[in-house]
Amino acid sequence: MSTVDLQIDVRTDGEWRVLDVRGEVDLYTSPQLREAIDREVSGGTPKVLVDLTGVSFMDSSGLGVLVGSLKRSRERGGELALVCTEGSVLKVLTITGLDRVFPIHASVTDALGT
Amino acid sequence: MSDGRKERALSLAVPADAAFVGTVRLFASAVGRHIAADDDLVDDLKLALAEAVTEPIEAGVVGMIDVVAFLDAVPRFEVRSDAWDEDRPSGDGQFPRHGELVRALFADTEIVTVDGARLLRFSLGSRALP
Repeated sequence: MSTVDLQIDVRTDGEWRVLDVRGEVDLYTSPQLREAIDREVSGGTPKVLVDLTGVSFMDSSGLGVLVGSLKRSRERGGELALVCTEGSVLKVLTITGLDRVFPIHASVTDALGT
Repeated sequence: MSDGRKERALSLAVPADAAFVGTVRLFASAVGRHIAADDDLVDDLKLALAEAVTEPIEAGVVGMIDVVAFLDAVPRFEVRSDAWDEDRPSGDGQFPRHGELVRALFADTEIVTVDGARLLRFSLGSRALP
């Protein structure tokens, strides 16, 4: 069975809603991520920042959630950005070309300062 | 997980259920440590095998999925499930197809259907091991 749950904490920082995601994102846990992001996007928050610093693994299930959320966010005139610094998550974003699709920041501070 | 010394293979069988994708990653990590792979290669193995089992689960395959690591001079991996109609889109169809992602990690990835079974195979190829 899945051994690592996904933990998502949400806070407001200025005009941004920041989702601090920790754990592993796969087919089993990605619905939890989708629900959390969609709650913010559909709730009228124009700017959503997903902090993936604490994510140790993400597969295409998670990528699908991020891409779908980005699409829905843009349809509503919003923004969706990521914080991702290194490791396997940045690698999967890079090899799929999604590092050119998402605004990716090195830290939450950097993202909020832009 | 069994250590079949005669056939030099490690194998895992899991139900086609999303709850077991994490178990496959643990298996990938264990095999990676067993063959003294570095952290980068272990991460790639975890991703490749997770993608390989996710695809049949999303396609609605029922029953068991077998994951086998053949411990040859060049280790190779095989994920076997029941076959399905691959013209039918799986998942949300947004991005990307799982086999393509596995192939981006391991260039010799091949997907074949044999006697109603679907096999995704790849080897470590030129990936260096100590």
